[in-house]
Amino acid sequence: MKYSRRDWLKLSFITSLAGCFFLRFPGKLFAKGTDKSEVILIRDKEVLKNDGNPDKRILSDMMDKAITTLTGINNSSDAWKSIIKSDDIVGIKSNEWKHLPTPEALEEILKERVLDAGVREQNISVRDRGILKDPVFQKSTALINVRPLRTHNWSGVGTLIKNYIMFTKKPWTYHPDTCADLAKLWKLPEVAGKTRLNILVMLTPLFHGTGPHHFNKEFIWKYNGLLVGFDPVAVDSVGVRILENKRKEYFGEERPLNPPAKHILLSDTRHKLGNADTEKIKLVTIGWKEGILL
Amino acid sequence: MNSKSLTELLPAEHSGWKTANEDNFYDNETLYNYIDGGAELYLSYGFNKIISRNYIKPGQPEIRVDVFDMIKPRNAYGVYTHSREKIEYNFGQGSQTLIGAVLFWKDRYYVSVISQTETDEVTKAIHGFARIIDSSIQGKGKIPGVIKLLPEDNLVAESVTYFHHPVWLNYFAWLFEDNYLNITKETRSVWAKYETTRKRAMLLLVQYPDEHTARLGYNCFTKYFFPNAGNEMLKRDKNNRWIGCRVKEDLFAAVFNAPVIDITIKLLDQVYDKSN
Repeated sequence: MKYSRRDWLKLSFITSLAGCFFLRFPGKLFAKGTDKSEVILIRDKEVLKNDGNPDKRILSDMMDKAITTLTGINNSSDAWKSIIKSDDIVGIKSNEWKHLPTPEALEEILKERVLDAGVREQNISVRDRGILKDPVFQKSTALINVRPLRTHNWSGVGTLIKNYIMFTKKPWTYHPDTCADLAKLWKLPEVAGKTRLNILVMLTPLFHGTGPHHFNKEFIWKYNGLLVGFDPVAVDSVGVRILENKRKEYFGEERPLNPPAKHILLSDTRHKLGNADTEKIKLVTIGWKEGILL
Repeated sequence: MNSKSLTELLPAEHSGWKTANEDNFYDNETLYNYIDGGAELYLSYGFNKIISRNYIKPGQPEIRVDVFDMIKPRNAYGVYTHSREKIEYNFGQGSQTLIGAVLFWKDRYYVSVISQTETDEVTKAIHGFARIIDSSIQGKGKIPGVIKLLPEDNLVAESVTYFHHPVWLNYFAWLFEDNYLNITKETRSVWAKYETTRKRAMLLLVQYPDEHTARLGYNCFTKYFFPNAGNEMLKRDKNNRWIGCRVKEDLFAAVFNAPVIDITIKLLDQVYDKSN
Protein backbone atom coordinates (compact mmCIF):
# COMPACT_ATOMS: atom_id res chain seq x y z
CA MET A 1 0.00 0.00 0.00
CA LYS A 2 1.29 3.45 -0.85
CA TYR A 3 1.68 6.09 1.78
CA SER A 4 -1.13 8.44 0.94
CA ARG A 5 -0.61 12.15 0.87
CA ARG A 6 -3.23 12.50 3.58
CA ASP A 7 -1.38 10.10 5.86
CA TRP A 8 1.89 11.78 5.13
CA LEU A 9 0.45 15.15 5.95
CA LYS A 10 -0.89 13.86 9.23
CA LEU A 11 2.49 12.55 10.22
CA SER A 12 4.37 15.52 8.90
CA PHE A 13 2.06 17.80 10.76
CA ILE A 14 2.54 16.09 14.06
CA THR A 15 6.23 15.59 13.61
CA SER A 16 7.95 18.18 11.57
CA LEU A 17 5.93 20.83 9.85
CA ALA A 18 4.43 22.12 13.03
CA GLY A 19 7.75 21.81 14.75
CA CYS A 20 6.11 19.60 17.32
CA PHE A 21 7.83 16.36 18.07
CA PHE A 22 7.12 13.22 19.97
CA LEU A 23 9.08 12.94 23.14
CA ARG A 24 7.10 9.81 23.65
CA PHE A 25 5.04 7.42 21.58
CA PRO A 26 2.06 9.52 20.54
CA GLY A 27 -1.07 8.53 22.43
CA LYS A 28 -3.50 10.59 20.47
CA LEU A 29 -3.63 10.60 16.72
CA PHE A 30 -6.51 11.59 14.58
CA ALA A 31 -10.04 10.25 14.71
CA LYS A 32 -10.63 7.55 12.14
CA GLY A 33 -14.00 5.86 12.12
CA THR A 34 -15.95 5.21 15.27
CA ASP A 35 -15.11 1.67 16.34
CA LYS A 36 -13.00 1.30 19.43
CA SER A 37 -10.63 -1.60 19.84
CA GLU A 38 -10.92 -3.38 23.15
CA VAL A 39 -7.72 -4.36 24.93
CA ILE A 40 -7.66 -6.42 28.10
CA LEU A 41 -4.80 -5.93 30.55
CA ILE A 42 -4.77 -8.61 33.19
CA ARG A 43 -2.15 -8.80 35.96
CA ASP A 44 -1.61 -11.11 38.89
CA LYS A 45 0.91 -10.38 41.62
CA GLU A 46 1.55 -14.10 42.18
CA VAL A 47 1.90 -15.32 38.61
CA LEU A 48 5.69 -15.54 38.66
CA LYS A 49 7.28 -18.24 40.77
CA ASN A 50 10.57 -17.83 42.63
CA ASP A 51 12.47 -19.26 39.68
CA GLY A 52 11.02 -16.56 37.44
CA ASN A 53 8.80 -18.93 35.47
CA PRO A 54 5.04 -18.44 35.46
CA ASP A 55 2.73 -20.54 37.59
CA LYS A 56 0.68 -22.35 34.96
CA ARG A 57 -2.49 -22.51 37.07
CA ILE A 58 -2.49 -18.76 37.68
CA LEU A 59 -1.54 -18.00 34.09
CA SER A 60 -4.34 -20.23 32.89
CA ASP A 61 -6.80 -18.38 35.09
CA MET A 62 -5.53 -15.04 33.76
CA MET A 63 -5.99 -16.23 30.19
CA ASP A 64 -9.53 -17.42 30.92
CA LYS A 65 -10.49 -14.11 32.53
CA ALA A 66 -9.02 -12.21 29.60
CA ILE A 67 -10.85 -14.19 26.92
CA THR A 68 -14.19 -14.11 28.73
CA THR A 69 -13.92 -10.36 29.25
CA LEU A 70 -12.85 -9.77 25.65
CA THR A 71 -15.63 -11.86 24.13
CA GLY A 72 -18.29 -11.00 26.72
CA ILE A 73 -19.00 -14.74 27.10
CA ASN A 74 -18.94 -15.88 30.72
CA ASN A 75 -17.67 -19.39 30.17
CA SER A 76 -14.07 -19.71 29.00
CA SER A 77 -14.72 -22.80 26.90
CA ASP A 78 -17.61 -21.12 25.10
CA ALA A 79 -15.53 -17.98 24.69
CA TRP A 80 -12.82 -19.95 22.90
CA LYS A 81 -15.42 -21.71 20.76
CA SER A 82 -16.64 -18.30 19.67
CA ILE A 83 -13.28 -17.56 18.05
CA ILE A 84 -12.01 -21.04 17.11
CA LYS A 85 -14.16 -23.63 15.30
CA SER A 86 -13.59 -27.36 15.59
CA ASP A 87 -12.70 -27.66 11.91
CA ASP A 88 -10.10 -24.88 12.07
CA ILE A 89 -6.45 -25.59 11.40
CA VAL A 90 -4.67 -23.50 13.98
CA GLY A 91 -1.18 -22.04 13.94
CA ILE A 92 -0.10 -20.60 17.27
CA LYS A 93 2.61 -18.15 16.28
CA SER A 94 4.96 -18.04 19.19
CA ASN A 95 8.35 -16.37 19.67
CA GLU A 96 11.52 -18.20 20.57
CA TRP A 97 13.97 -15.33 21.11
CA LYS A 98 16.28 -17.07 23.52
CA HIS A 99 16.52 -14.30 26.08
CA LEU A 100 12.78 -13.74 26.38
CA PRO A 101 10.70 -16.40 24.63
CA THR A 102 6.98 -16.94 24.82
CA PRO A 103 6.60 -18.94 28.06
CA GLU A 104 6.15 -22.63 27.43
CA ALA A 105 3.34 -22.70 29.98
CA LEU A 106 1.39 -20.16 27.95
CA GLU A 107 1.95 -22.11 24.73
CA GLU A 108 0.58 -25.20 26.47
CA ILE A 109 -2.44 -23.31 27.80
CA LEU A 110 -3.30 -21.96 24.36
CA LYS A 111 -2.96 -25.37 22.79
CA GLU A 112 -5.19 -26.87 25.50
CA ARG A 113 -7.85 -24.23 24.89
CA VAL A 114 -7.77 -24.85 21.16
CA LEU A 115 -8.08 -28.60 21.79
CA ASP A 116 -10.99 -27.89 24.11
CA ALA A 117 -12.63 -25.98 21.29
CA GLY A 118 -12.70 -29.28 19.41
CA VAL A 119 -9.73 -28.85 17.09
CA ARG A 120 -7.87 -32.10 16.41
CA GLU A 121 -4.32 -32.22 17.74
CA GLN A 122 -2.80 -32.81 14.30
CA ASN A 123 -4.42 -29.56 13.21
CA ILE A 124 -2.58 -27.47 15.81
CA SER A 125 1.00 -26.28 15.66
CA VAL A 126 2.90 -24.02 18.05
CA ARG A 127 5.92 -22.56 16.34
CA ASP A 128 8.07 -19.53 15.55
CA ARG A 129 10.87 -20.26 13.08
CA GLY A 130 10.13 -22.58 10.21
CA ILE A 131 6.41 -21.82 9.98
CA LEU A 132 6.57 -21.54 6.20
CA LYS A 133 7.53 -25.21 6.05
CA ASP A 134 5.16 -26.30 8.79
CA PRO A 135 2.22 -28.24 7.27
CA VAL A 136 -0.25 -26.90 9.83
CA PHE A 137 0.77 -23.30 9.27
CA GLN A 138 0.73 -23.91 5.52
CA LYS A 139 -2.91 -25.03 5.69
CA SER A 140 -3.93 -22.86 8.62
CA THR A 141 -7.36 -21.30 8.72
CA ALA A 142 -6.78 -19.58 12.07
CA LEU A 143 -3.81 -17.97 13.79
CA ILE A 144 -3.17 -17.07 17.41
CA ASN A 145 -0.41 -14.54 17.82
CA VAL A 146 1.54 -14.63 21.08
CA ARG A 147 4.85 -13.11 22.11
CA PRO A 148 6.57 -11.12 24.85
CA LEU A 149 7.07 -7.39 24.48
CA ARG A 150 10.64 -6.15 24.26
CA THR A 151 12.65 -3.27 22.96
CA HIS A 152 14.38 -3.79 19.64
CA ASN A 153 17.38 -1.87 18.34
CA TRP A 154 16.02 -1.38 14.82
CA SER A 155 12.21 -1.42 14.96
CA GLY A 156 12.13 0.23 18.40
CA VAL A 157 10.10 -2.56 19.87
CA GLY A 158 9.34 -6.21 19.17
CA THR A 159 5.59 -6.33 18.82
CA LEU A 160 2.66 -8.50 17.81
CA ILE A 161 2.71 -6.76 14.45
CA LYS A 162 6.36 -7.71 14.03
CA ASN A 163 5.84 -11.28 15.23
CA TYR A 164 4.62 -12.27 11.77
CA ILE A 165 8.05 -11.55 10.23
CA MET A 166 8.57 -15.33 9.95
CA PHE A 167 5.81 -15.46 7.35
CA THR A 168 8.20 -13.98 4.79
CA LYS A 169 11.23 -15.59 3.22
CA LYS A 170 12.84 -12.17 2.96
CA PRO A 171 12.58 -10.49 6.36
CA TRP A 172 15.25 -7.94 5.46
CA THR A 173 12.92 -6.43 2.87
CA TYR A 174 10.90 -5.11 5.83
CA HIS A 175 13.90 -3.38 7.43
CA PRO A 176 13.89 -0.01 5.60
CA ASP A 177 12.97 3.05 7.63
CA THR A 178 13.30 1.10 10.88
CA CYS A 179 10.74 -1.50 9.84
CA ALA A 180 8.09 1.16 9.21
CA ASP A 181 5.90 -1.07 7.05
CA LEU A 182 5.74 -4.28 9.04
CA ALA A 183 1.96 -4.14 8.79
CA LYS A 184 2.33 -5.33 5.20
CA LEU A 185 3.11 -8.75 6.64
CA TRP A 186 -0.50 -8.96 7.70
CA LYS A 187 -1.61 -8.78 4.09
CA LEU A 188 0.40 -11.80 3.00
CA PRO A 189 -1.87 -14.65 1.86
CA GLU A 190 -0.53 -16.89 4.64
CA VAL A 191 -1.76 -14.36 7.19
CA ALA A 192 -4.53 -12.14 5.84
CA GLY A 193 -7.74 -12.39 7.79
CA LYS A 194 -6.70 -15.41 9.84
CA THR A 195 -5.72 -13.95 13.20
CA ARG A 196 -8.27 -14.76 15.89
CA LEU A 197 -6.44 -13.53 18.97
CA ASN A 198 -3.38 -11.49 19.93
CA ILE A 199 -1.62 -11.94 23.24
CA LEU A 200 1.25 -9.68 24.22
CA VAL A 201 3.11 -11.26 27.10
CA MET A 202 3.90 -8.65 29.74
CA LEU A 203 5.19 -10.92 32.48
CA THR A 204 8.77 -9.60 32.39
CA PRO A 205 9.03 -7.12 29.51
CA LEU A 206 12.39 -5.83 28.34
CA PHE A 207 12.33 -2.02 28.50
CA HIS A 208 15.85 -1.26 27.31
CA GLY A 209 18.55 -3.09 25.41
CA THR A 210 22.28 -2.79 25.20
CA GLY A 211 25.15 -4.71 23.65
CA PRO A 212 25.02 -7.00 20.63
CA HIS A 213 22.49 -9.35 22.17
CA HIS A 214 20.24 -6.50 23.31
CA PHE A 215 19.46 -8.18 26.57
CA ASN A 216 20.42 -7.69 30.17
CA LYS A 217 18.49 -8.73 33.26
CA GLU A 218 18.93 -5.20 34.57
CA PHE A 219 16.37 -4.06 32.01
CA ILE A 220 13.49 -6.45 32.64
CA TRP A 221 10.99 -6.12 35.43
CA LYS A 222 8.15 -8.15 36.88
CA TYR A 223 5.04 -6.58 35.42
CA ASN A 224 3.12 -9.86 35.76
CA GLY A 225 0.66 -9.11 32.98
CA LEU A 226 -0.90 -10.15 29.71
CA LEU A 227 -2.36 -7.80 27.11
CA VAL A 228 -5.04 -9.48 25.04
CA GLY A 229 -7.11 -8.24 22.13
CA PHE A 230 -8.38 -8.76 18.63
CA ASP A 231 -6.60 -5.67 17.29
CA PRO A 232 -2.81 -6.17 17.28
CA VAL A 233 -2.12 -2.48 16.75
CA ALA A 234 -4.19 -1.48 19.78
CA VAL A 235 -2.57 -4.15 21.95
CA ASP A 236 0.92 -3.10 20.84
CA SER A 237 0.07 0.55 21.35
CA VAL A 238 -0.91 -0.07 24.98
CA GLY A 239 2.22 -2.19 25.47
CA VAL A 240 4.46 0.59 24.21
CA ARG A 241 2.86 3.09 26.58
CA ILE A 242 3.70 0.80 29.47
CA LEU A 243 7.30 0.41 28.24
CA GLU A 244 7.77 4.13 27.84
CA ASN A 245 6.37 4.80 31.29
CA LYS A 246 8.76 2.22 32.69
CA ARG A 247 11.66 3.87 30.88
CA LYS A 248 10.68 7.23 32.34
CA GLU A 249 10.50 5.71 35.81
CA TYR A 250 13.86 3.94 35.46
CA PHE A 251 15.86 6.68 33.76
CA GLY A 252 14.24 9.56 35.62
CA GLU A 253 13.40 11.45 32.44
CA GLU A 254 11.46 11.03 29.23
CA ARG A 255 13.32 8.34 27.33
CA PRO A 256 11.37 7.48 24.17
CA LEU A 257 11.97 4.23 22.40
CA ASN A 258 15.04 4.43 20.24
CA PRO A 259 14.39 4.30 17.36
CA PRO A 260 10.71 5.22 17.66
CA ALA A 261 8.21 2.42 17.10
CA LYS A 262 7.08 3.89 13.80
CA HIS A 263 5.61 0.65 12.61
CA ILE A 264 2.84 0.74 15.22
CA LEU A 265 1.74 4.21 14.28
CA LEU A 266 1.97 3.49 10.56
CA SER A 267 0.05 0.23 10.98
CA ASP A 268 -2.82 2.55 11.86
CA THR A 269 -2.34 5.64 9.71
CA ARG A 270 -0.77 4.08 6.63
CA HIS A 271 -1.94 0.46 6.58
CA LYS A 272 -5.25 0.65 8.46
CA LEU A 273 -4.49 -2.56 10.31
CA GLY A 274 -5.91 -1.31 13.59
CA ASN A 275 -6.05 1.52 16.09
CA ALA A 276 -2.94 2.99 17.67
CA ASP A 277 -4.75 6.03 18.99
CA THR A 278 -5.63 5.83 22.69
CA GLU A 279 -8.86 7.65 21.89
CA LYS A 280 -9.79 4.63 19.83
CA ILE A 281 -8.83 2.02 22.37
CA LYS A 282 -11.06 0.75 25.16
CA LEU A 283 -8.67 -0.51 27.81
CA VAL A 284 -10.07 -2.87 30.43
CA THR A 285 -7.80 -3.59 33.38
CA ILE A 286 -8.24 -6.66 35.57
CA GLY A 287 -6.37 -7.74 38.67
CA TRP A 288 -3.24 -6.32 40.30
CA LYS A 289 -3.09 -2.52 39.96
CA GLU A 290 0.16 -1.61 41.73
CA GLY A 291 2.80 -0.34 39.32
CA ILE A 292 0.39 -0.56 36.39
CA LEU A 293 2.21 2.31 34.62
CA LEU A 294 -0.85 3.53 32.77
CA MET B 1 41.72 -7.01 9.70
CA ASN B 2 41.50 -10.70 8.84
CA SER B 3 40.01 -13.47 10.93
CA LYS B 4 43.39 -14.57 12.22
CA SER B 5 44.13 -11.13 13.59
CA LEU B 6 40.78 -11.00 15.38
CA THR B 7 41.53 -14.40 16.88
CA GLU B 8 44.78 -13.08 18.28
CA LEU B 9 42.89 -10.54 20.37
CA LEU B 10 41.31 -13.31 22.46
CA PRO B 11 42.96 -15.50 25.09
CA ALA B 12 42.71 -19.28 24.78
CA GLU B 13 41.67 -19.46 28.41
CA HIS B 14 41.34 -17.43 31.57
CA SER B 15 40.73 -18.43 35.22
CA GLY B 16 39.74 -21.93 34.18
CA TRP B 17 37.36 -20.88 31.40
CA LYS B 18 38.52 -22.49 28.17
CA THR B 19 37.50 -22.07 24.57
CA ALA B 20 34.37 -24.17 24.10
CA ASN B 21 34.35 -24.79 20.39
CA GLU B 22 35.45 -23.30 17.11
CA ASP B 23 35.26 -19.56 16.77
CA ASN B 24 32.43 -18.12 14.74
CA PHE B 25 32.97 -15.30 12.30
CA TYR B 26 30.32 -13.15 10.69
CA ASP B 27 30.55 -10.36 8.14
CA ASN B 28 28.01 -7.84 6.94
CA GLU B 29 26.27 -10.51 4.86
CA THR B 30 25.95 -13.03 7.67
CA LEU B 31 25.63 -10.90 10.81
CA TYR B 32 21.84 -11.40 10.64
CA ASN B 33 22.39 -15.09 11.25
CA TYR B 34 24.10 -14.31 14.52
CA ILE B 35 22.18 -11.40 15.97
CA ASP B 36 18.96 -11.58 14.03
CA GLY B 37 17.12 -8.34 14.55
CA GLY B 38 20.15 -6.63 16.00
CA ALA B 39 22.45 -6.55 13.01
CA GLU B 40 21.13 -3.31 11.55
CA LEU B 41 22.51 -1.22 14.40
CA TYR B 42 26.07 -2.37 13.70
CA LEU B 43 25.62 -2.11 9.96
CA SER B 44 24.37 1.44 10.39
CA TYR B 45 27.67 2.41 11.95
CA GLY B 46 29.88 0.54 9.51
CA PHE B 47 30.93 -2.97 10.27
CA ASN B 48 33.48 -5.37 8.85
CA LYS B 49 33.61 -8.58 10.84
CA ILE B 50 32.92 -10.09 14.23
CA ILE B 51 34.53 -12.95 16.10
CA SER B 52 32.34 -14.73 18.60
CA ARG B 53 33.81 -17.20 21.06
CA ASN B 54 32.27 -19.10 23.97
CA TYR B 55 34.27 -20.06 27.03
CA ILE B 56 33.28 -22.85 29.39
CA LYS B 57 34.33 -24.04 32.82
CA PRO B 58 32.90 -27.09 34.61
CA GLY B 59 30.15 -26.10 37.04
CA GLN B 60 30.12 -22.50 35.84
CA PRO B 61 27.99 -20.61 33.34
CA GLU B 62 29.28 -19.99 29.85
CA ILE B 63 30.96 -16.70 28.99
CA ARG B 64 30.56 -15.29 25.51
CA VAL B 65 32.99 -12.84 23.97
CA ASP B 66 32.19 -10.86 20.82
CA VAL B 67 34.71 -8.53 19.21
CA PHE B 68 33.35 -6.33 16.43
CA ASP B 69 35.82 -4.93 13.94
CA MET B 70 34.05 -1.68 13.07
CA ILE B 71 36.57 -0.64 10.40
CA LYS B 72 37.21 2.79 11.92
CA PRO B 73 37.50 4.03 15.51
CA ARG B 74 34.68 6.52 15.00
CA ASN B 75 32.31 3.62 14.18
CA ALA B 76 33.33 1.71 17.31
CA TYR B 77 32.98 4.88 19.36
CA GLY B 78 29.55 5.52 17.85
CA VAL B 79 28.20 2.07 18.65
CA TYR B 80 29.51 2.43 22.18
CA THR B 81 27.89 5.83 22.69
CA HIS B 82 24.65 4.50 21.26
CA SER B 83 23.75 2.54 24.37
CA ARG B 84 25.90 3.72 27.26
CA GLU B 85 24.09 4.93 30.33
CA LYS B 86 27.00 6.31 32.33
CA ILE B 87 30.54 7.51 31.86
CA GLU B 88 32.96 4.78 32.79
CA TYR B 89 36.56 4.12 31.77
CA ASN B 90 37.25 0.77 33.44
CA PHE B 91 38.10 -0.89 30.13
CA GLY B 92 39.30 0.37 26.75
CA GLN B 93 38.51 3.96 25.85
CA GLY B 94 35.09 3.86 27.45
CA SER B 95 33.09 1.05 29.00
CA GLN B 96 29.77 0.03 30.41
CA THR B 97 29.45 -2.54 33.17
CA LEU B 98 26.10 -4.21 33.71
CA ILE B 99 24.83 -7.36 35.42
CA GLY B 100 26.94 -10.13 33.88
CA ALA B 101 28.31 -7.92 31.14
CA VAL B 102 31.16 -5.62 30.17
CA LEU B 103 30.95 -3.59 26.98
CA PHE B 104 33.75 -1.32 25.79
CA TRP B 105 35.35 0.25 22.76
CA LYS B 106 38.98 0.68 21.85
CA ASP B 107 40.57 1.67 18.57
CA ARG B 108 38.34 0.19 15.85
CA TYR B 109 36.82 -2.49 18.07
CA TYR B 110 33.64 -2.80 20.06
CA VAL B 111 33.85 -5.58 22.62
CA SER B 112 31.15 -7.43 24.52
CA VAL B 113 31.84 -9.96 27.29
CA ILE B 114 28.70 -11.47 28.77
CA SER B 115 27.24 -14.32 30.76
CA GLN B 116 23.57 -14.99 31.30
CA THR B 117 24.17 -15.95 34.92
CA GLU B 118 26.16 -13.78 37.27
CA THR B 119 28.11 -15.11 40.23
CA ASP B 120 31.11 -13.49 41.93
CA GLU B 121 33.38 -15.88 40.07
CA VAL B 122 31.77 -15.11 36.71
CA THR B 123 31.99 -11.39 37.35
CA LYS B 124 35.71 -11.66 38.09
CA ALA B 125 36.23 -13.76 34.98
CA ILE B 126 34.26 -11.36 32.77
CA HIS B 127 36.35 -8.46 34.02
CA GLY B 128 39.50 -10.54 33.52
CA PHE B 129 38.60 -11.33 29.91
CA ALA B 130 37.83 -7.66 29.29
CA ARG B 131 41.21 -6.61 30.71
CA ILE B 132 43.08 -9.16 28.57
CA ILE B 133 41.33 -8.08 25.38
CA ASP B 134 41.83 -4.42 26.29
CA SER B 135 45.59 -5.10 26.58
CA SER B 136 45.64 -7.06 23.32
CA ILE B 137 44.30 -4.10 21.36
CA GLN B 138 47.42 -2.04 20.90
CA GLY B 139 46.04 1.05 19.19
CA LYS B 140 43.91 3.88 20.44
CA GLY B 141 41.12 5.47 18.43
CA LYS B 142 40.61 9.14 17.85
CA ILE B 143 37.29 10.54 18.99
CA PRO B 144 35.51 12.36 16.12
CA GLY B 145 36.30 16.05 16.02
CA VAL B 146 32.65 17.09 16.10
CA ILE B 147 32.45 15.85 19.70
CA LYS B 148 34.92 18.54 20.73
CA LEU B 149 32.52 21.21 19.48
CA LEU B 150 29.96 20.38 22.15
CA PRO B 151 29.75 23.11 24.80
CA GLU B 152 30.85 21.70 28.14
CA ASP B 153 28.67 23.73 30.52
CA ASN B 154 25.70 21.67 31.71
CA LEU B 155 26.49 18.88 29.24
CA VAL B 156 24.99 15.52 30.25
CA ALA B 157 28.14 13.62 29.34
CA GLU B 158 26.57 10.17 29.06
CA SER B 159 24.01 11.49 26.58
CA VAL B 160 26.62 12.27 23.91
CA THR B 161 25.78 10.01 20.98
CA TYR B 162 27.77 9.99 17.76
CA PHE B 163 26.26 8.75 14.49
CA HIS B 164 26.39 8.93 10.71
CA HIS B 165 23.20 7.17 9.70
CA PRO B 166 19.90 9.08 9.27
CA VAL B 167 17.97 6.64 11.45
CA TRP B 168 19.65 8.09 14.51
CA LEU B 169 18.31 11.56 13.82
CA ASN B 170 15.43 10.21 15.91
CA TYR B 171 17.71 9.07 18.69
CA PHE B 172 16.29 11.30 21.44
CA ALA B 173 12.85 11.92 20.06
CA TRP B 174 10.74 11.32 17.01
CA LEU B 175 11.74 14.51 15.24
CA PHE B 176 12.37 13.59 11.65
CA GLU B 177 10.01 11.84 9.29
CA ASP B 178 12.68 11.91 6.63
CA ASN B 179 16.40 12.51 6.27
CA TYR B 180 15.96 16.27 6.02
CA LEU B 181 19.57 16.89 7.00
CA ASN B 182 20.99 14.55 4.39
CA ILE B 183 22.95 12.50 6.88
CA THR B 184 25.32 10.16 5.08
CA LYS B 185 28.45 8.17 5.81
CA GLU B 186 30.36 11.36 5.03
CA THR B 187 28.70 13.44 7.75
CA ARG B 188 29.80 13.46 11.39
CA SER B 189 26.86 13.97 13.71
CA VAL B 190 26.28 14.07 17.42
CA TRP B 191 23.36 14.39 19.78
CA ALA B 192 23.79 15.67 23.33
CA LYS B 193 21.54 16.72 26.19
CA TYR B 194 22.01 19.74 28.44
CA GLU B 195 20.73 20.26 31.94
CA THR B 196 18.40 23.20 32.33
CA THR B 197 16.24 24.31 35.20
CA ARG B 198 13.45 22.26 33.68
CA LYS B 199 13.57 19.49 31.10
CA ARG B 200 16.82 18.84 29.30
CA ALA B 201 17.59 20.68 26.09
CA MET B 202 18.89 18.69 23.13
CA LEU B 203 21.67 19.80 20.82
CA LEU B 204 22.32 18.32 17.39
CA LEU B 205 25.55 19.00 15.50
CA VAL B 206 26.18 17.87 11.95
CA GLN B 207 29.56 18.38 10.36
CA TYR B 208 29.37 18.09 6.57
CA PRO B 209 32.18 17.36 4.11
CA ASP B 210 31.93 20.95 2.82
CA GLU B 211 30.10 24.24 3.18
CA HIS B 212 27.85 23.66 0.18
CA THR B 213 26.47 20.38 1.55
CA ALA B 214 25.98 21.98 4.94
CA ARG B 215 23.95 24.78 3.37
CA LEU B 216 21.78 22.24 1.52
CA GLY B 217 21.10 20.40 4.76
CA TYR B 218 20.27 23.65 6.52
CA ASN B 219 17.90 24.73 3.76
CA CYS B 220 16.07 21.43 3.83
CA PHE B 221 15.83 21.48 7.63
CA THR B 222 14.51 25.03 7.79
CA LYS B 223 11.99 24.33 5.05
CA TYR B 224 10.35 21.73 7.25
CA PHE B 225 10.93 23.12 10.70
CA PHE B 226 10.58 26.84 9.93
CA PRO B 227 8.28 26.98 6.90
CA ASN B 228 7.10 30.50 7.62
CA ALA B 229 10.21 32.00 9.12
CA GLY B 230 12.23 34.84 7.74
CA ASN B 231 15.86 34.98 8.76
CA GLU B 232 15.24 34.23 12.41
CA MET B 233 15.49 30.51 12.91
CA LEU B 234 14.12 30.46 16.42
CA LYS B 235 10.61 29.51 17.43
CA ARG B 236 8.50 27.75 20.01
CA ASP B 237 7.25 24.28 19.22
CA LYS B 238 3.82 22.92 20.07
CA ASN B 239 5.08 21.95 23.51
CA ASN B 240 6.09 25.57 24.09
CA ARG B 241 9.79 24.75 23.96
CA TRP B 242 12.32 26.49 21.84
CA ILE B 243 13.86 25.24 18.62
CA GLY B 244 16.70 27.07 16.94
CA CYS B 245 19.25 26.32 14.29
CA ARG B 246 22.23 27.85 12.55
CA VAL B 247 24.76 26.96 9.88
CA LYS B 248 28.26 28.26 9.40
CA GLU B 249 30.78 26.89 6.96
CA ASP B 250 30.52 23.09 7.17
CA LEU B 251 28.78 22.94 10.55
CA PHE B 252 25.04 22.78 11.18
CA ALA B 253 23.68 23.08 14.73
CA ALA B 254 20.15 22.82 16.09
CA VAL B 255 18.73 23.06 19.58
CA PHE B 256 15.46 21.42 20.57
CA ASN B 257 13.39 21.31 23.73
CA ALA B 258 15.00 24.35 25.35
CA PRO B 259 12.75 25.88 28.04
CA VAL B 260 13.77 29.47 27.23
CA ILE B 261 15.10 31.20 24.15
CA ASP B 262 18.29 32.30 25.95
CA ILE B 263 19.44 28.71 26.33
CA THR B 264 18.88 28.08 22.64
CA ILE B 265 20.93 31.09 21.62
CA LYS B 266 23.64 30.46 24.19
CA LEU B 267 24.15 26.86 23.09
CA LEU B 268 24.36 27.87 19.43
CA ASP B 269 26.79 30.70 20.26
CA GLN B 270 28.98 28.38 22.29
CA VAL B 271 29.16 25.83 19.47
CA TYR B 272 30.32 28.38 16.94
CA ASP B 273 32.72 29.98 19.40
CA LYS B 274 34.37 26.60 19.79
CA SER B 275 34.45 25.98 16.05
CA ASN B 276 36.35 29.22 15.40
